[in-house]
Amino acid sequence: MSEGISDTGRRIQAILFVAGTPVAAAELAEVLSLPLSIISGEIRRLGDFLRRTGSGLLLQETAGGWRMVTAEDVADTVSLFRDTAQTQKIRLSRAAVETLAVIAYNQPVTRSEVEDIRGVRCERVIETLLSHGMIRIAGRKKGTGSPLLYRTTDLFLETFGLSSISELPTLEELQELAPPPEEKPRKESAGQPKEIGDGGEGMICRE
Amino acid sequence: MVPNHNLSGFQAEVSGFSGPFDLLCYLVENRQLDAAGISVGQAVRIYGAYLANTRRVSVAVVSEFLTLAASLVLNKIRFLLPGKAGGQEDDQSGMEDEPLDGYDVEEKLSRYRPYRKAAFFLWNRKEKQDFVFFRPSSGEEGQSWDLGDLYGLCSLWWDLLEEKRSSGSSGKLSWMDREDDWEGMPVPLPDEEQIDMKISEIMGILKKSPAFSFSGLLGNGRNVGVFVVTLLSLLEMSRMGRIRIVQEELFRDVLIYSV
Repeated sequence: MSEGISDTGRRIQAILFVAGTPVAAAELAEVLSLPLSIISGEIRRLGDFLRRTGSGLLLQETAGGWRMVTAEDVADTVSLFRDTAQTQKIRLSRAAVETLAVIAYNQPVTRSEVEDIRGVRCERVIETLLSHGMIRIAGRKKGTGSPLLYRTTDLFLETFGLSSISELPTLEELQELAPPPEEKPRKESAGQPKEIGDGGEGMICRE
Repeated sequence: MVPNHNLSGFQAEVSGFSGPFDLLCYLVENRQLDAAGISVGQAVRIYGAYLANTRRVSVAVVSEFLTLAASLVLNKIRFLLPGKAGGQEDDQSGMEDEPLDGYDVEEKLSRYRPYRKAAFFLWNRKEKQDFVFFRPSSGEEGQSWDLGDLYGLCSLWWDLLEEKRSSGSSGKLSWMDREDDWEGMPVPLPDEEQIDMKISEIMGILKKSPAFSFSGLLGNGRNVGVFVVTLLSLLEMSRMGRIRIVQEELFRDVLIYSV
C-alpha cells in the first residue's frame, strides 16, 4: 500500500488511469462494491494526495465524472511529447463561444432564440457546434414550426473543465465581473492549439 | 374556370431569360421597372391562365413560377418599406454575424451583455483547460444518448448500418440468409426488397386481371406497413410506366390499370 493512499484509493487511481472518459463516482462505487459516500471520500483523499506529493497527474471533476489529467505546470513538456496532446484541444471562435454561452444559459433553446439574444444569425455556428458534438438536438419546441431545441453536451463541459452546468455562475453573478475586453488576446502557450480559420466565422476545429 | 383565350402571343423569347416572368423580375430587381406599379395578382392570374392553357405544366415549372412570384412580392415589399427603396441589399443569407432585420440595438444590447460576460468567463475556463491533458478517448466508449436525442440516435443508427454494410460486402444476400446476422435477432426486411416483392405480386395480379382496385389489393391486412409498401410499389410501377392509376371521384377507391 502506498503511503498516504488507501487500497481503495489506489484502485480508483488505476481505474481512472485506464478510463478514456470521465468516470462517475456512482460507477466507481458499483465497480468497487462500496457505498458512494466512501468512494467520494476516497476520491477527495486521492486528489489531495496527488496534489500534496507534486504528482504530474491530478484528478479533475468534469462532465459529471472524474478523470486523471496532467498538471498545468507540465503542460509544455506534455505538448512537446507527441501530437496527440494537441488533438485534444478544440479551437473556438468568439462567435462559437458566445453562441455556446447563450445555449448553456438558456437550454433547451431554439436557434431563433439564440439569434434573438445575439442579434446575429447563428445558423452556421450552430451547425458547426452540432457537428463537433458541443451541442446536441434535444427535441422540438411545441408551437409554430416546431423548431429544434438545442442543449450543450458533456463534451462542452469537458472542453471548459466544468463538472456540470450548475457550476456556471448565474448571469447576475457575472454582472459583478470586470467587463470583457473588446478582443480577447490569445496567449501563446504550450497547450495552445494551432490557429485555424480567421476566428470570426464560428469555426471550431480539432486538429 | 379559366377561359380558353388564345395565349399564343404570350410567348416571349428573350435572350438570357427563361420566360416573361423571369424578365419582369429582372427588370424590377434592377430598378428598371417600378415594382410598386405592378399588380402581382394580375401577373399571377395571367401566368396561371397561360400555364393552364399549355397543358404541359410540370412541377418544376410551377415551382419556378412560385419562386419568381415570391421574388416579385419581396421586391414590392422592399419598395414599400421606409428606407429600403433605394438601398442595394447584398444577399448574405446564412452568413455568420449578419445583423437581423428590425434589430433594436439599445434594447437588445442590454439583454445580450450578460452573455458576452458569460462568453468571457468560458474563454478563461478554456484557456486554463488548454493547459491540461488527459488520456484521449478511444471513441468506442462514452457514447450515451438521452431520451429524445434523435440526432444522437440517428448517428448511432447510421454508424451501425455503415458498419453492417462494410462487413457484409460479399455480394447481395437475401433477407432470409441474413436472419441470424445480429446474434439471433431477426433482421427486418429492407424496404427495397419489400417493394420488389410487392411489385412482383402486383404484376402477377395484372396478368390475371387488367384492372383492380387499391382496396382490393390491400385485402384484409390493412396495417400501416402493408399500406405504405403497396402505395410505394404502385407509385414505382406508375413511374416505370407499367400501370395507370385512376381515381375517378374524390375519396373513392383508386383503380389500377395495366398499361
